[in-house]
Amino acid sequence: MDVERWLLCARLRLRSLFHGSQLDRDVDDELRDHVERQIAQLVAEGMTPAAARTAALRALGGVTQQEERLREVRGVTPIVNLLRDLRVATRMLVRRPAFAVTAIVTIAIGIGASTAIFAVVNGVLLQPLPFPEPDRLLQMSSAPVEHLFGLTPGLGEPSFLDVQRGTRLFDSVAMFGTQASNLTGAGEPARVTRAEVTTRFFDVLRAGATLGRVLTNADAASPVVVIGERLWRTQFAAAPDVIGRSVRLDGVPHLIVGVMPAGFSFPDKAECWTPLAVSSSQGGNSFFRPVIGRLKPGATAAQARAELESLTKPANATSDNWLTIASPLKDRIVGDVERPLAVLAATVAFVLLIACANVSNLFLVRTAERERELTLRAALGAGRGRLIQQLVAESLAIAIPGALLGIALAYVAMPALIALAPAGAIPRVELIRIDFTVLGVAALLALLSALAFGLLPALRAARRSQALVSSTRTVTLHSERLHAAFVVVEIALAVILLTGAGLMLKSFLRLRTVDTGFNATNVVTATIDLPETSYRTTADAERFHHDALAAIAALPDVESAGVVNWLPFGMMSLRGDFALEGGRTLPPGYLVIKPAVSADYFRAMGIRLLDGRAFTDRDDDRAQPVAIVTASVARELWPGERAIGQRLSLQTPPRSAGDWLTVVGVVDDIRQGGLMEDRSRAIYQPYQQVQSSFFVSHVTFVVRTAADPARLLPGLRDTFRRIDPDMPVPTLVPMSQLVSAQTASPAFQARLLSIFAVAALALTIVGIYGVMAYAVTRRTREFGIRLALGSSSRDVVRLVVVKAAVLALIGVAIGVAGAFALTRVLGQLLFEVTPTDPPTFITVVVLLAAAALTAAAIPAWRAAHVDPVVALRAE
Amino acid sequence: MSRPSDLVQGTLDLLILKILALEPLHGWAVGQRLRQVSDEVLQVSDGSLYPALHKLEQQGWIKAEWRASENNRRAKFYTLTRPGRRKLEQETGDWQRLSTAISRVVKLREV
Repeated sequence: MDVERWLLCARLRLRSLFHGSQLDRDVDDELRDHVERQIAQLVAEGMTPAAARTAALRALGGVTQQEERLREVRGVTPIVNLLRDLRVATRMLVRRPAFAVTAIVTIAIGIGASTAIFAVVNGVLLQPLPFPEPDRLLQMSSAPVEHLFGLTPGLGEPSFLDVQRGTRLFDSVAMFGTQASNLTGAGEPARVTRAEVTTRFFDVLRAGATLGRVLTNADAASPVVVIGERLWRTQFAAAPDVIGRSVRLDGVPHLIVGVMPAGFSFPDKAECWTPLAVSSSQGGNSFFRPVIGRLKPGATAAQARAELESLTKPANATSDNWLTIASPLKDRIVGDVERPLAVLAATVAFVLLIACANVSNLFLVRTAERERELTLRAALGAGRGRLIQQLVAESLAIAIPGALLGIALAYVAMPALIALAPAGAIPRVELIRIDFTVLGVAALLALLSALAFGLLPALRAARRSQALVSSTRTVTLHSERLHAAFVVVEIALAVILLTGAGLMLKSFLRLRTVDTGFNATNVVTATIDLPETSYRTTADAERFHHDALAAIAALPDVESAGVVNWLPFGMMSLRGDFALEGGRTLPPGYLVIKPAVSADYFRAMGIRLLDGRAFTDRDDDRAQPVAIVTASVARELWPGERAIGQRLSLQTPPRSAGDWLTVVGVVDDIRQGGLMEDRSRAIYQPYQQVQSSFFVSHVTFVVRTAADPARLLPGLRDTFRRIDPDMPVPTLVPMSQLVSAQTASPAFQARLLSIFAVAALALTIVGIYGVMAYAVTRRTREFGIRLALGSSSRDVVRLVVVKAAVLALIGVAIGVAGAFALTRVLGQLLFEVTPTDPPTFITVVVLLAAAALTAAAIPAWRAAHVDPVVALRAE
Repeated sequence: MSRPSDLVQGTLDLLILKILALEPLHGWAVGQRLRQVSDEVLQVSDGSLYPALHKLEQQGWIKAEWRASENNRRAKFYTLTRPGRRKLEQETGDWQRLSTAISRVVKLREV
């Protein structure tokens, strides 16, 4: 079709659509003109005016009919009809408020839940990272499979340098780490998140400063800092001349060279960035940190992984014990929530499906009631398409208000949902909002669900009505099978959802009762970082610890107080290997955590001493070096022997005789990394015998009190302020809070899934009830006859209940099979619960069977109390 | 004899286009002209004339506008559009090919 004609046609269509009445008048005028001319002609030929008028009108076939034909020619009849159908449908719904409200609310629940969850998915998972060409950003990892460093991917320093030097596929790579730092010298002392980054960091992200500059290669070892926009506002009152000023970070003066734009806080909500010097020393310990890189255009992640492997994988490593990863940077940020969100999205999709099945059933019942009306329409010439269109218009009349209500629900529910989520559990929470994409998806869902619940009943009704036109007797509508199918689908979906929710709930309860190996009740923790400038040596740090411990012990209600450098459930933990006396070798991959603790730590933390003795204050640098091992270490390294008196070295290889530690005690294993992680093997050292200040400058005080931990907080704050007024007050966190923080996300997930599963169950019960009630109503006459012929009401009840039970059985069977196949995806989210946990499955089956029978109870009772006389007179 | 007009109905569009190609006309005049040119053999009822006109308009082959006709009466005049003119040429060609073919078939002697 050529453009000119297309334009002509488009203009006409629009006019037909929007100026219909004008066009109707035009047609009227045109036809009148025609008739007048024709009359004039006929009169001129000798007819009487009256006869001429009749002849002219007859030739035209009637003005009204002619007008209707011309309207059809204009081609917009379907749309005009649809609008009219919508009006009619709305009027009908208003006359049946119970039906309309049930259907609209049901759809609103489905669409509201889907919209809210999609908004979260859209913001968190689908929005690109706020960096140019984010697809080219990768994170890298190369480490033993037996993961030494928790779950954070990264590279060791030597590997990073190898990659930096040898890469052909990356434009730039950067290593970074974050830590809490004390910021002084600008406003109030503050504890800020500081990112240490290699100098190409900003190149990799392609991020520029709003004020000043970002780091350059020349900054590699200089004390300079780039600050974030928030810090610039809070500490510097957004002063434009901040560049060139000096601040102290952990006591070290740093020159401010730049301010980053608002919103830039990578990595991990960093507030300032300082250069990271990567050590090239090959031997000994090295840091293992996250690494990111920007791929060259055209290079793929798979190629990058291959290159990374060739550059970093040790010669003796195999694919069984070494893992190399090059994955999208986004995974670092959203990796943890991807699966829970996917599960949640699937859940709301199921809820929406159940809602559609329910409304579809309602519609089946409605169209069955309206059989006479529809048949009449068919008899009067309404085509199949026309009937379907009218019924679909009715489903739209439900879906549109349902969607609007659902979107309103989502608007209300989403902030509540986000508020319910534990802090930090949802990354990129600021990107979650109901925008046009989300609204578009909601509209699409509404349309799809209107088709889903409206089309099947419509097709059915249209077919039947037309069939009925040709027959003369009343035919009972056999939509039973379709009803049954919907109910079975609903039950099956509900079973799957309830099973999923049940598994999550059980996993969460398991998590709550995990034995951590320590006793978190009534324990307060205070984490501090001693600035290197004022605490140069380990002795300085130890003096601080000693003074603080003595002062804390004197506080009222304090039972015991200790110090540990790597707090269980804390941010960091280091693992490493060690050496055994007498040339005995460790099992391959045998690693331990190596906390340094004070004498009373075990008592304060409530860790059980199983053998030997705890540390004392006399275990200082003048005394014999000692160690305490955990039960698993003792059992695995010296089976059948006593661990006490064995000697080991945390230095590999030991450099002097002083590196050999004698085991003096055995304590219980604890879960260092978190509730979900296995108990960690550990070798404890007295902190006074630790030689590197690195191991004692970051410590946590652990204080056990006899009273409410909250009452201890002011006293603790004062104590620290008194000992060193220049240090920011440490963050005080009850140990129980650290533990419960670990159950917060699983609790949130379990709660959300439960809410949706219960909603699904409620919808299903309503669905079963609706179908059974309708079936009973339809069979009233039959039941009347049965009762009149001598059936007992028990027989009638049995008829109804057996029917419900059969449906429930089929639904549950399909649901269990589906759950069996689908709960597998929960595997990674479950703790000590298998995805096919039999007790959960059995509970759900029993629950649904009970729900189905309850839903059938009222209709069954009604069936049993049918009055035969009334029933037989009806019709 | 069957109704010759049956065959012609399908070519009503072509006839209208041809008539309008000569000059813009209003609906009644188109009907008159149709009757004249076909020597009253083709019975185009007034009832099917207007749907045909409106359909051609909707398809963009002709366009309509209100103009003053004789003694200042307003009438809706139809004019051929440029695409309509191209369409007419093509349809005329088709028709000629078809009618030639048909008259050949009709002239075949039965054996």
